[in-house]
Amino acid sequence: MNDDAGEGHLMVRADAPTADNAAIWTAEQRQTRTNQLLAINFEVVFRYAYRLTGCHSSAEDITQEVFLKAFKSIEQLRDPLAERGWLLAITRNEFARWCRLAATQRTTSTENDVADLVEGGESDLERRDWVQSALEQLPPEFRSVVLMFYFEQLSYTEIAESLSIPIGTVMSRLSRAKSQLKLCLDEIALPQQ
Amino acid sequence: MSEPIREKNLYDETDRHLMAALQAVDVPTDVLSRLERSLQVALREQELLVSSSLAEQVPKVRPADSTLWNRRNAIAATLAAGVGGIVLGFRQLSQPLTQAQLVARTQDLLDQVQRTQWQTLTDSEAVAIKRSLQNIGFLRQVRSVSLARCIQLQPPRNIHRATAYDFGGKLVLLDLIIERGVQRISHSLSELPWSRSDTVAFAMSSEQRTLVFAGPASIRAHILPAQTT
Repeated sequence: MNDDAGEGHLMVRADAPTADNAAIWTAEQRQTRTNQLLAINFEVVFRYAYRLTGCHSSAEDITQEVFLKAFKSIEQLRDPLAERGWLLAITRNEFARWCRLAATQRTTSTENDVADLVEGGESDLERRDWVQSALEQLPPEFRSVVLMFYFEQLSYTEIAESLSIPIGTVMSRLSRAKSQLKLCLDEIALPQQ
Repeated sequence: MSEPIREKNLYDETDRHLMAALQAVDVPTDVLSRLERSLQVALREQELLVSSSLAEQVPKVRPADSTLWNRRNAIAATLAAGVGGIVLGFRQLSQPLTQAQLVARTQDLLDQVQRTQWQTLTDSEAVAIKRSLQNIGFLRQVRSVSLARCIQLQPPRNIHRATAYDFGGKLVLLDLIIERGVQRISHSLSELPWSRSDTVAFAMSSEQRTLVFAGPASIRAHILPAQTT
């Protein structure tokens, strides 16, 4: 497949403008294309955002921002096969921005989703979502590597390049994180299955 | 130029268990519709904002002698100026408003909302107000709601100004400027007498400013930490 901005692999819509002619994207075209992305990918983006934040409402906020960002820079998506990875990378960046914003504003989420309030009790939630509890026990730098490897299915090299760390660091973080997660898998999840 | 061959990760059984567990997140059924709506609202707002700033837009739609418009514009301008400018004008009374009093008076105001005439906002005014609310940190999902109208309410004693905003979908935001604020209002739903199973209401405060939401919980907000002295 060509890496150039050739027309053959640019967009799903045949009448969509090419990356080389981004200026001719109309608002309607952008919206149509973004809606296509949304319909196909909103679940995976939401799931990833939830794994990053551990909170449904924050995950929804981040998901919303991801698709707004996608709308604004839709011309950057040249390869339809790469749209999942592109959106997950935006999700990761939005999560980083969300963390910075939360730190500067020192705000507290109300966490008042009706769904969160009326769904089963804490213990049921914890049992059902043991992996989230386990994830949150990991240091943030380990959690990122775990999610990039398991959720985004990026290679060691891609993770290393994305995080600007040596590949050996990626491997060691992943190994240690996996050991911890496996303990949880063995001790929490499997006995209840 | 050929694309580099992407490395394939090798996953063992434990890896596959972990991958499956990480992917297993329940997605609320109404997320997609909310996201679609958010996108539509955002696009409309972007179109409104693209050519000129809000400050430039608002005067263009002002009828020359409209008292009604002036009132609405005053609300938008005041909010757009931020909380700081508003707070400066407060009278400090000796008797602080207790939480119970605030709850009761807020309930009165909510009742008043049902009886009074709403003022329809232009898109530009609605955008200005929503952005001002977002800028001061109260609304997180400000894009996902449509603000259609607002109303100035008759405030009881201890409440300097009361404005209600209708965000549609039964969601009403009361913006109360109270003369001497409670330090912190609990946002526990159970403590608010107007909560119902299909409607959620909560209050939040920062210094003298209090926002009370009544409506579906599809909108969420940040609570600014109460100022401690």
